[in-house]
Amino acid sequence: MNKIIKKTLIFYTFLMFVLSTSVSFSKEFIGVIGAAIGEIKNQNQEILITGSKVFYGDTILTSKASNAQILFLDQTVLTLGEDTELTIDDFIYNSETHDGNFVTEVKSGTVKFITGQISKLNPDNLEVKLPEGTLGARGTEFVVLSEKNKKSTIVLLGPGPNNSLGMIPGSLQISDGNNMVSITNPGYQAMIEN
Amino acid sequence: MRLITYLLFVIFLFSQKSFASKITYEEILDNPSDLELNLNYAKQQESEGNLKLTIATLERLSMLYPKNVDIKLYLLSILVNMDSKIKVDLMLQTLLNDPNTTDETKNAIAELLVDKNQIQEKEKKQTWFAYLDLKYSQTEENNISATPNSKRWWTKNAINDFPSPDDITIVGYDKTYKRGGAFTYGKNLNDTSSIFFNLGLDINTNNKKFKGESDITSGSVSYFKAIRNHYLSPYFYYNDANYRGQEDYISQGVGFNNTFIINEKINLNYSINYSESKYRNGVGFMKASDNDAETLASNLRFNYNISNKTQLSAKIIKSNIESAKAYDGYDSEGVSISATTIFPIGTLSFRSTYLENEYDERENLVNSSLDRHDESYATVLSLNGQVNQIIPMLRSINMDNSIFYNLTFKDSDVRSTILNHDISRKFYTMGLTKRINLNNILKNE
Repeated sequence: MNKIIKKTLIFYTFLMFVLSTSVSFSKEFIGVIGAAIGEIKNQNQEILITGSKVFYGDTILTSKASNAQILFLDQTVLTLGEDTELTIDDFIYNSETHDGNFVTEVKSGTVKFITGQISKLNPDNLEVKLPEGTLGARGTEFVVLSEKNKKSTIVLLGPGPNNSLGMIPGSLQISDGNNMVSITNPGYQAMIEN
Repeated sequence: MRLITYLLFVIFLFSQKSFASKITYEEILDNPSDLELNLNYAKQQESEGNLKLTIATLERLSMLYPKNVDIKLYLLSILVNMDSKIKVDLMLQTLLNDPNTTDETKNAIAELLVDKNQIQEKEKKQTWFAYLDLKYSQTEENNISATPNSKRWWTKNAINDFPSPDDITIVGYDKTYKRGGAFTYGKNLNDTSSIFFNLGLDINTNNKKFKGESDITSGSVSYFKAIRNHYLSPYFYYNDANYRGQEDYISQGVGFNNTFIINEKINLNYSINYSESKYRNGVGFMKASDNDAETLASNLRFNYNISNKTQLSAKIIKSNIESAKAYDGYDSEGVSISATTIFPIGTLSFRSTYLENEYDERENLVNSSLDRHDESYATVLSLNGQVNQIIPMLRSINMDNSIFYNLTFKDSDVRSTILNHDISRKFYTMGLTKRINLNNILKNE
């Protein structure tokens, strides 16, 4: 009997070790593909479908005539247009304090952002890296159109200062490393050229 | 009509066996494509005021269920209130290019937009606005007691040394602190006219100088009317100045201002103003009313917009001051040039003004043999804008962009035939204004 208990204990200890090892080596889950239309892949060329998980450090690629929406844990929502490449460089989020940091890089294509809790608590903690510069956002919906290593166009979509929805008016700060411009009116855009 | 859209949507929701218990974001992450769950979630987020998630959810469902026009209509009904023409235009473009959009849906879209426009027009017609400005500023001045450049002055036809600074009555460098508040109420009377009422109180104190501290209450009414390219504005104002160690007075005036837009680049502005100052006799100031004066001032300004960020202006100034003491009355003529440009950190303005003042009579108690003729040069350099523009880290505190800064340098140099008035002064001002939008407060209530 003792032998059986001993064997069982050893088995469960081994199982726990394996599980804990596998957990510690697995990548951190930071969001899901909310909608996948067409061909969506990650950096490992794995096909992503609606409901697929997105992990820390992932690169998401959309093919021609494809688009996707990614839902992040902090309620940031990104909508990717066709022929888009986007990398999640950093995503740290505390769901209780809503504190965190979100750094993403739009390498090419079109990405629409609806900012979430990280940006709401501290707008400086959301950074969008572009091939030619960076941008920060507050209370905002905006779209980034990036032509690989050529130029990026950033358009503020809203909300406007006179919105009747009680939403915080959106604003963007765009920098090419030397100069910074702000956009506060929906429909206005800035362009950074390489 | 917007109601009908909502009604359609509610029927749609019920038809989908809707309205379960509160749905969490985690449930959506687990089931991002579940139509019923996600529609209920969108509705729930809308009722909680979290419209960003409503929009994101509806946009996702539009991608997943492109044939479902009700989702798009629901999304459009939210976007029209977002004050973002580009969002509405994009959504309309999507809807109208969608082969699933039926004529019936197109009619519903049209009704929604007409309804929204009517609401906006109604709001526009009835728009009133009110705000309270709380101001604090500090001015440093290098010659607050107006010591002449020569440090000498005429008294009883003889040149004497001007009293040396004692930091009480005669002060050189000093600081003036201004705390004030101003309440403004405006109302659009119709599409082309509006009226403004303003009430203010400023309290000015000096660091050293005893005389000259004041509290000033003020009020004004102005009316604006647009007639074609003319923007006309008659106005009336009233000030009551209560000074420490100096005569108190009231001043009141009426004026008229018109800006004539010639084209996108050029506009002309002209104004005429009549005002009177009445001094109060009182203990220690038995002859204060001898300072009473009337002023008739006019100017013509030419503005040229080099770009949508830079404007150059030139102004001709002419005025006449009639004083109870004839030697204080004078005719004034001059010109002013200015340049204003908008930078990312704020609006930078430069203004330089030259005036010649020809006095009506000699001041016999000062110098009975010399006519007084002054030439004044004033240069003003100012930078103003929102504090977030110069200190971006304040964005998290000043979220509604309601705190404004002002930095001003002014150099005043008066050359006069009478030494007493041959004076140079420099002013450095920095100020902050917090604007409290009373519309939001009153609307919320």
